[in-house]
Amino acid sequence: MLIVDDEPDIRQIAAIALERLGGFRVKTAASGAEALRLAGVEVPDALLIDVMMPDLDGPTTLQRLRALGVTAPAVFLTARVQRQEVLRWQECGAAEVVGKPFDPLKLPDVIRRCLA
Amino acid sequence: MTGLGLEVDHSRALRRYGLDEPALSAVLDGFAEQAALTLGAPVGLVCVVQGDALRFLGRWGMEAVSMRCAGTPCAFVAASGAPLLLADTAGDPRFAGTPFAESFRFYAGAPVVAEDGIVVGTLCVADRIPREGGPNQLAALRSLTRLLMDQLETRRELLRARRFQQLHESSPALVVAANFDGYFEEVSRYWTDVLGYSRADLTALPFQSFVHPDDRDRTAQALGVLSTGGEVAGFENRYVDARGEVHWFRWYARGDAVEGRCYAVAHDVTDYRTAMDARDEAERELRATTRLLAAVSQVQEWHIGGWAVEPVLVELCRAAAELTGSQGAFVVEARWGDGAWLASDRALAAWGQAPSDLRGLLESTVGAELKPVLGESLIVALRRDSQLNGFLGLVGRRSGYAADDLVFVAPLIQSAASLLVARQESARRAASEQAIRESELWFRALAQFAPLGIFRTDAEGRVIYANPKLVELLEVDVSTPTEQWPERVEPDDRLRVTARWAHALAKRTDLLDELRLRPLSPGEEPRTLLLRATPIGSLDGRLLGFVGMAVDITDRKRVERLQQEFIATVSHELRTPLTSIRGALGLLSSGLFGEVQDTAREMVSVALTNSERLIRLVADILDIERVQSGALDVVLAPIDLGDVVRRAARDLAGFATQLGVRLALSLSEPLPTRGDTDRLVQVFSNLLSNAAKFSPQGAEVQIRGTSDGQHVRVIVTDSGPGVPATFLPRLFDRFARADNTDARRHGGSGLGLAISKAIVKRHGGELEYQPVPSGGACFVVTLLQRNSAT
Repeated sequence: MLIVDDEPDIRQIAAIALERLGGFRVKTAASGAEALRLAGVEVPDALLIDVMMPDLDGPTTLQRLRALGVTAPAVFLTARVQRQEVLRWQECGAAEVVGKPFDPLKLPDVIRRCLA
Repeated sequence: MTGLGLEVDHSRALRRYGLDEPALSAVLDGFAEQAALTLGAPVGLVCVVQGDALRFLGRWGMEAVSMRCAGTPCAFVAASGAPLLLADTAGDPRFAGTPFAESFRFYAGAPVVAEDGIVVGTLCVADRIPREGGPNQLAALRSLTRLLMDQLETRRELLRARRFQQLHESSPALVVAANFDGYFEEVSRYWTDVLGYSRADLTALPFQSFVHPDDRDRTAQALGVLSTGGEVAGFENRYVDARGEVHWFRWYARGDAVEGRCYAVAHDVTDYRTAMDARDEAERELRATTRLLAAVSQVQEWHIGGWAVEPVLVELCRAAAELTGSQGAFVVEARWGDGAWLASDRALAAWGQAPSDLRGLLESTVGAELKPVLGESLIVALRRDSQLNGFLGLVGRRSGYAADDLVFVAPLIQSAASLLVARQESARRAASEQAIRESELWFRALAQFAPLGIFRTDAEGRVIYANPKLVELLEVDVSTPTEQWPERVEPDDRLRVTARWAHALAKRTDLLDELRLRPLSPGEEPRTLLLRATPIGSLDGRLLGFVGMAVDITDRKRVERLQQEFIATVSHELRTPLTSIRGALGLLSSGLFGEVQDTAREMVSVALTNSERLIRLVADILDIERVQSGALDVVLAPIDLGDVVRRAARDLAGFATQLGVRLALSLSEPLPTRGDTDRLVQVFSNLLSNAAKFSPQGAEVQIRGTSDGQHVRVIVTDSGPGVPATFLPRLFDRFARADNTDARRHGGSGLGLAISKAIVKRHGGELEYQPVPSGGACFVVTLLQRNSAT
């Protein structure tokens, strides 16, 4: 699966949790552009995308990925979890929204729910 | 009548001298006898011709009283007016053969002629035998006729005098002869009837004694005219009769300077005078009443139009004087000093008082009890509502003033009193108007220099005053019509402000709104005004308009915005590292990187707990920021509050168990309402965690749901220490904690209750604290109950 986040620490924590606890094979991207490039190399089965990123933000990145034919379920990672905001992320194609800060131990279950 | 062609009739003379009156026949008989004896004849006669008959009114030696007139020498004498002597009638062809001639042969007769030449009759003598006669005999006869005539004339005069006497006595005229020494000489009987004095009384004293004292001077003047032989016609004066009553006499008199007396006739015109006086009085009253009515109506108009009251008072005085027959009337105000004299109408002159003397005089005469003064003058206190306003005075009536007059002038008193009150009110009003004008100046000055925009509108909402600051704030030219001012508002705000303004105007409610102004140059930041207006009603509830003010809050808004942005930025910037810390610690504590030593695990746990606390604090700060900016997101949906509470309890079950506290739910009743489940869960999580935190170990937190048909309630009661009374006022404040040591022990941000209260309020409900007598705290959440239909 592909993790997209501009924050290296969070990228790393999420990757460890998903690899070690969830048993996923994880690739990480530090920006939307990198994510698009990686997705061109190998199509991911699941996506974990940070919403607030410089240049390409989360929803735009997802839109571009979809345009490339990536159909994998996407989980948005964001601090903006007001109800209206959550609705907006869902409209943008998010299967699940994980609020920041998050408990990394619960992350594998979220991804699994999406793939089920 | 006769062959002589002479026609004679003595009827007129007969009446003139009353010849056939019985009283005269003896006289006439005497003349007949005198004539017969003088001429030595046996028959003497006084004859008059009446119609065809010759009547013998005086006889001597003759039985017959009349005979046919025709052919008699008497008729001849009467007709010719000349004496006649016939020595022998038989020898005279004029009479020979007549019945007279057959009876009497001798005849001598002379006419009785009055001074004016009228033949009254004849005096004649006769004898049956012829006799010699001469001129001496005729002369003697003529002398006798003159004597007879004198006698008749005298008698006639007497008769006339008697008739005049009769006339005089029976006439209802006051006939009098008076000498210029001032005494009546003759008075007709009517004088005694009218005046009740005897003739002797009337002639014994100078007649001025009977004249009314006021009229004596004039009477003396009239007498002066008469004493020079002049006439007086229509002069009137008064006499006082024996009973003391007054009579008006109207005189026609002529004086005779030679005789030294005057003859006069008077008529008692008392009734006429009374009637005339009554008419004059009535007319005067009518005039005065008309004036009074005019004055009173002016009083009313004065009330309406605010006219000067003094002319009306003067008019009233005039009316009062005229109505009462006084020489003057005055109204004086009970406020002494130069302005005290309000109105006087010749009153002072008539009274002989100077204004400066008046105060003492009124005070001493009217006195403290303010009883009316009567007598030479009439002075009444004018009072209204038991307060002394002034005095009304009437002066200069000869007959003086009595209590009856008080009734008469009562309407005047009323009018004068109300006029004075009106005048005093007007003075007061003028003073208060002055005060209002000055106050207006002050307020206008305040408004002019106030550092905030101030305006005033009329009842239709049109701006009728705006201070310079408002003009400056709106950045409009002073000459810009106020109707164009709304164009200065940003189009986005204009519609809303206009609608709110219309609403406030229609409902007479306060208006409070913020509006942005259109920047005058591009790129400029729009300025924000806080607009506040409130309706002003008059005392009778009419809407006068609105007063309002406008404050430039651009800077405040900017600061607020910066503050919000700062908080948002800070919390975001805080959350990113927190996410990493929280995530790293989570992974560390999961044993994913191999077992750590007990001490190290404990430290990781401490770090984890505090990072979570920090995360909650940041979340709360963001929430409270949303509450303040009005951005708190609440979506209402039909829910059951019991479900919400159960969810919150479930979320907190682990937490409570850790603390050894049991959450006891009694939610058997359905609690239908409309609300935002997530937000309400947040509220109850906060309430339940608080309750759990403050409860002693092993205690129970009671959570009870109730509904009363209108509201649903959830009551959370713990058995902790409760809220100290001193802290109650700040219980729902931000960052409020009863004890700062709580922060460490209980780990709260101090924002939970403030946020919870805001959330409940956004639901239209209420979050309240209720002390529990047995100790412990009790929080009650009350929301509107949802009908089963909705």
